[in-house]
Amino acid sequence: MKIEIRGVLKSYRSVRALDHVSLQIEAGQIVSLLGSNGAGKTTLLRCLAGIAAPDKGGIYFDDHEFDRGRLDLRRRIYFLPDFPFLFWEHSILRNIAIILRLYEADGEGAEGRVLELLRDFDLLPLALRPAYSLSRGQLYKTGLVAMLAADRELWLLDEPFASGMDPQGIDAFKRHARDAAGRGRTILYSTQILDVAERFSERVCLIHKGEIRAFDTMDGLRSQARDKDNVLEEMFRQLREGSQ
Amino acid sequence: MKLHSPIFEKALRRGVKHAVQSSSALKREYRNAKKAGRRRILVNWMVRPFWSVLLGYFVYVITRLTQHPVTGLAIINLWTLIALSFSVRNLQVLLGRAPDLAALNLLPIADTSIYRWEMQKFFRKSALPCVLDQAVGFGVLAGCLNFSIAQWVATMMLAVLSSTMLLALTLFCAAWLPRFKYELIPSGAFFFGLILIMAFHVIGPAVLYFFDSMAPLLNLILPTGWAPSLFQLFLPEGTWLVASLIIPVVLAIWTIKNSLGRLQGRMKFRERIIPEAFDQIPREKPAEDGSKDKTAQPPRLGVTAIEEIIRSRQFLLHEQPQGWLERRLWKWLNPRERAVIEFAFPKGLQITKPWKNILRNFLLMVLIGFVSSTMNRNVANWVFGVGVFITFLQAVGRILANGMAFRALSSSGVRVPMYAAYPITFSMLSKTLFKPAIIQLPLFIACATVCASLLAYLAGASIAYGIIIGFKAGILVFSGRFITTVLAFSSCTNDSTQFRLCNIALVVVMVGCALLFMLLGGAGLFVPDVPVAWLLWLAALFDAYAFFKIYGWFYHANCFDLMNFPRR
Repeated sequence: MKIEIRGVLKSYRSVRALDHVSLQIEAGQIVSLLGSNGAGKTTLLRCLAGIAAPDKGGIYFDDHEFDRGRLDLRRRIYFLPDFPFLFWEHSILRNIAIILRLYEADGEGAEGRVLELLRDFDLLPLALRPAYSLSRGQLYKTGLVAMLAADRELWLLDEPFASGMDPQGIDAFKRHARDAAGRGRTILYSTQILDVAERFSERVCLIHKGEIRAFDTMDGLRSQARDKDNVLEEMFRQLREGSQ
Repeated sequence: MKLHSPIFEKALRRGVKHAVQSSSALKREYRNAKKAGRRRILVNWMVRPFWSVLLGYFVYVITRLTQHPVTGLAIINLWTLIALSFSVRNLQVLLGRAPDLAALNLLPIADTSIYRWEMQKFFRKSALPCVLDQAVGFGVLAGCLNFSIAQWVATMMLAVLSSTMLLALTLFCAAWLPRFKYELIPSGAFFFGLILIMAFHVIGPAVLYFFDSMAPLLNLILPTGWAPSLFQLFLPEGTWLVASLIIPVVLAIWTIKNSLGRLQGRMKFRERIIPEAFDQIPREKPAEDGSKDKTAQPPRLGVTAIEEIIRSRQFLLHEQPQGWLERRLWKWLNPRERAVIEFAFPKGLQITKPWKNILRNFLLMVLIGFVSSTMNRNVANWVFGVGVFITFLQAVGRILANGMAFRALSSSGVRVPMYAAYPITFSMLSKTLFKPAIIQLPLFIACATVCASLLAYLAGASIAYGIIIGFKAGILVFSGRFITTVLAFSSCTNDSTQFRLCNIALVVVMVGCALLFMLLGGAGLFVPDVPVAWLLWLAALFDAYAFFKIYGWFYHANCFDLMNFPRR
């Protein structure tokens, strides 16, 4: 799914969370959103998911203007917040079943996908455990399994690498995400971990105080940087110096 | 009490102060934060006394109308009962789900210290409003009766005693009756108040007469009335028999120590093994002889059994609806709506069983009412009145149920309703939630007409009048579903917290439509001119629908976010 963000402005009272953000992401790309705390990463993801409403500007998915009433577009998007939205007293399996039905992804073959994913994320022995009894990492894995089983065209993930997942879970997520990008899925995630952004994503989008400061491939960013080995670190240093 | 080192706190304060003073940006932020904090404190100080003044106003009006100070005391009694229910809920939340509990439990702090800390918070928060309410209530009565200075002093001492009694009852209820649904008391009072406002001209005098005649009994029956009843000792017509109420009051205050001990015992951290969720495997059946092994661990399924559940698609199967009404609803819903219903009611939507319970309770009430009418007419009237009220409230609860659709969860510092993260739209969710209400509509109308007919019979009016009023009220409450749906959507958005033209317009329209609905609804029920009453009733229905559609327009016009911000 192709994403186009045109001049999106979003304010919370006196704070400008997004300042005329314009961005175009092609289908099949993995894009990491980088930025300091409060830079506007989560707000951008929320605007794309229809939770936050831009004050100005527009969001287009495959050239169709998006608003929260467009069910056809919302069914093609999966938003996974930093803390997955699950029914606490229900089991992992029940949560996955409810989510799959909402996305109409519970047809033939769903059971095989779910089984494979639960095995991949080491959740099979816990599948009947109520969500409230799981650790934060296990909860995030449950959200990921539901997202991967639903297999939407656009994945929006808030801080997947700071979710408390174990290394196996992170590895499994990366594998599935790369595979999905190969099948044309677009993946947009926020992170603070520069190494992950550098190695895992095809493009990096750097947000600072609600403005897009850089949006390019790692090679593109490297060509402009003085310190070729620490491209992203250098960019953050420059931003910090600029704001001081 | 301090939970941390005072030396550390002092050093921290000094460090923060130094950092703030050396940066102009931090200074600005500090000033803004301080301003917001001051504004919040000011609002609290202005809003809270308003409630006490409202109590004083009620006491004054009722005492003037009835010329009976005892009826004024009954108002204080009922107010204290409502305050008690709020107070118990606050205490339960503080001891069980306070935001700082999770963090405190992780720190090397003894359970007793955490308990004392939370209790201190509770006492600090509730003591002053509690005394203020009682002082204003009793003060108004004292003012009406032109008390001497000595009597004023005694009255204020009684206000303190009554507040202590309220705190003792709060602790007792939280410790010994934690499962009671305390929220029923304020919600019942709210609905009753609403009905009274809408139909004051018709039922107001009768309710007032009834309340006046039952006030002494009410003050005796409800524990919240025991301390206020001691006020009668200051009245010229007061009898010294009332002084005997000091015994239960002292006994209630005596329970404070025990209640505190029990509450503290409950707060202790206990490790427990969490059983499998109930949704995939049936609950364990009790043994044939009815005994239950309390030491047995909960059952756990192995990986092979779980794999089988997944492979066989058992987890993807819809649970077959049990009752007749549920089956009818299930047939009516399309697959998409079934998914949304399952999302809103993940434990399954129950309709038939709750209605059977309502019918059982109603029949029981009628039976008790008729039996008691052979002994005492007044008691029977109370039984019928309270029974009809509870039955109607239960029925309203069924019609207005939203399940978990609007449950809000924390995410990155804000609270987002669950539906917002999934592909569920405003129109789809509201339409789907309407269908169970429509299925229950015939039962609800029947319930409303029967209740209204019974009340009409008790009030000496014609049964036909009761049936018409019941029908109209039933449909009005049903149309109130439009309004409550909007309020449910609104509860987890920032639609009314932004100072923008769009949001101001939305708030004005919402408040206006809600007030108009109450006005038209009340007039539609009780205006004597029949054709005009029907027209006003229809206008109220249209107003509720318009309210819903207008909010939907604002929703789709992206006027607000589907999340709300926690208080700063």
